[in-house]
Amino acid sequence: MDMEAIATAEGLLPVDTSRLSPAVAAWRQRVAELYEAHRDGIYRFLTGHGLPPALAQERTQDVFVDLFVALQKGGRVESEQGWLYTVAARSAVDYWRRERSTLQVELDLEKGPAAQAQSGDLSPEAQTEHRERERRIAAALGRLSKEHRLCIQLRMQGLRYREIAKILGVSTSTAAEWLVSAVNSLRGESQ
Amino acid sequence: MTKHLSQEELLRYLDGELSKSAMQTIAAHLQACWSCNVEFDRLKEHIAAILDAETNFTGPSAPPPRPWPRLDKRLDEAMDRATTPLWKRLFPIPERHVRWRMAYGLAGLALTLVVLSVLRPEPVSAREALRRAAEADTARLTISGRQVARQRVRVRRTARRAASARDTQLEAWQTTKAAYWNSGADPVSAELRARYQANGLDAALPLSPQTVESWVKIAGAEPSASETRESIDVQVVSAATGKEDGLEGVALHVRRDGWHVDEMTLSFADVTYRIVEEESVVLTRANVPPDVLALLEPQTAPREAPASAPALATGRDGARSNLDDLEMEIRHDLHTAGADLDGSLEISQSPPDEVVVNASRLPAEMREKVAALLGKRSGARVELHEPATAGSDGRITRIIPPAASPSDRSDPRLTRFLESENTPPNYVRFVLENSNNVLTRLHALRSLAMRWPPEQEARLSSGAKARLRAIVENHAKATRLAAAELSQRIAPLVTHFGHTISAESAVTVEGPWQQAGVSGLAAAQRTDRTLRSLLTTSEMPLSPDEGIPMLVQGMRDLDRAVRVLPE
Repeated sequence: MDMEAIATAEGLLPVDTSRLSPAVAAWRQRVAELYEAHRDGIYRFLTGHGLPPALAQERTQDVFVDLFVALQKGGRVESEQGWLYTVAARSAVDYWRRERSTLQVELDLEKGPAAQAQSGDLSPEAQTEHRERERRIAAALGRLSKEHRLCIQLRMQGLRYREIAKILGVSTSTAAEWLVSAVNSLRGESQ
Repeated sequence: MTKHLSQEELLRYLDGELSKSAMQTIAAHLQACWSCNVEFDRLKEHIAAILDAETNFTGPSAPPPRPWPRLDKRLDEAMDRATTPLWKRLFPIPERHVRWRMAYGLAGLALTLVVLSVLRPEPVSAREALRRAAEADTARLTISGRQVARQRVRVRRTARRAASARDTQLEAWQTTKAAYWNSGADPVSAELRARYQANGLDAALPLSPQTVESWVKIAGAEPSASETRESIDVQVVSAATGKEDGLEGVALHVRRDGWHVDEMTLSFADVTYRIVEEESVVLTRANVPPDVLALLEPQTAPREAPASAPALATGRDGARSNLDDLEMEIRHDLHTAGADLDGSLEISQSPPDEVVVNASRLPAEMREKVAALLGKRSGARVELHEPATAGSDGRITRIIPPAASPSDRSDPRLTRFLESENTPPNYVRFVLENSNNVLTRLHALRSLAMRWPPEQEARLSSGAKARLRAIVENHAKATRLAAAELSQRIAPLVTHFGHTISAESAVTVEGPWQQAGVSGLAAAQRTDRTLRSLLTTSEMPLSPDEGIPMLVQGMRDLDRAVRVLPE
């Protein structure tokens, strides 16, 4: 089954796409594919930054609708994934400002399937040590301030310093300082 | 070289966040300075470790919604907004000096409203949509005693943590008294069938008014609807009672033309099934294949072939029965070797005369043991490599997370209990290990229950039945022991908070072991989650006031399920 058929069956595309212009139909299809692939990740990102589940669900959908609107208006989207996380991060920052809440994060240290996969390159001892290090870093990530953690996560999504700074409403040099501080603090925890 | 590079300079260089001249200066410095070069490599290695940690340890969140709400309505609204000019949205009333335009405009609006009211589909509530669909589909699929309904559906199974989905096609037949699902050796169909049976839907088609009504009832919550011109999407997010049965939600696609449910998505805690109707027809008995008719009316056609019959000489049922015998013999041997405990083993039939055992995901030592055990056995094929289509959802690997350190625990009562002299060292670890033992056995039982639901167990030969019984009894015995150990271990914790774990000793519970295996696993999983939320650095921490009563209830449910298991 091709992606369009899957998306239609999922209800992501209107059943009848003939009423849409080819460009709009293509954007809808692309957004449907991205929604399928990234909705869980965006939702986890938002709940991880303190949004309650119901609001995170709503905001997750907003992110994809915003992307669709941007595409429709002819906006230039270089990295779709980066774009999605940028909008999601803005949502999270707006939420912090509105709620003025302090965020206490505890990461899930029960390993997921990816973490359980064995790496053929490492001996069992080295694997255990590697995972233990990852676990310590994950725990330290949870202890970072919400701004520092967001800096790290957005950089992981490929955002430039100026883009991160814009989302957080700070200068580029402040964003760089936060990023360096976060990396150094994680480094201290992992050793 | 005047001085070494700072961490910030290295990171900015790595990220390309410096001016062109600064980039060149640092590049030159790195070439000249071993110390900074090594430090640069360490920084890259550290960033790789951060990436791995962020990827492998999931974020602190409630599980994502299942099923996700549909996006199409929101996209339609966005499109409408985009195509309406801004001035029309901001200034809906025309200027005063163009009153005639307003008159035309109002007339146009009135006309549009009339047209819309004629063309626009009548809005209906979720309940009303379900009622109309039930009425229409019942009329469509109603059969007399001389008729048989046949349904073909496509099933897509998506495990919650697996990246891939598995598709299968299923044909089901129904008379006024019974239903038969031609699932063959396909594990997805067999698993879905077991879920239906565990919820009392033995004699139902995969997608029928009866089925829809039952699942909605099990979800136990008010449905909601979103409408398009052609269809209505009804969603039911399960209430607490539905979730206790493992059902997270039900989504239905109702077509407006003819009020017909042509798709249903069942979301369970661990897996989602999307069932899409391909065809539903009512046939007279003369048009039903005799072997299907025999399966629907067992009194007129005994199905069980003698265990000793040759594999291919007794026709379809006989061959199948012998293959079942062979599979059961192999399962029994693997069970005796202890290879069926971590959920990694995949066993399937490859007609006409082969049973395939995929041991690729077992630990190396056990893999060798299985290869030695079955390598030379006639009719058994052992696969030691990963099958191309296999998902990773079957494996059960539970990592016992670190106990929360005292500073992580917000409740001082829990800290006092865990640090008390009466509480043994490593208490949390032992509790979680006990819980893990219970889960391991119940996973094995559930896996057997899915493979051999009651109706399929009844069709086994006496030898195969006896072997299955022996495996089940063995797992049941181990489950009872592990559950008793767990109960004993957590009793002091529960008592510390003024509760007791009371077994309902006077209650006699009966039922198929398959159902007990499924419900026992659900109870054990709830208990395990509660324990982890209470005692470890969990994503969803619980206070003792919330967690202890849940723990007591979980243990009671587990006890009830374990009682049904054979002695």
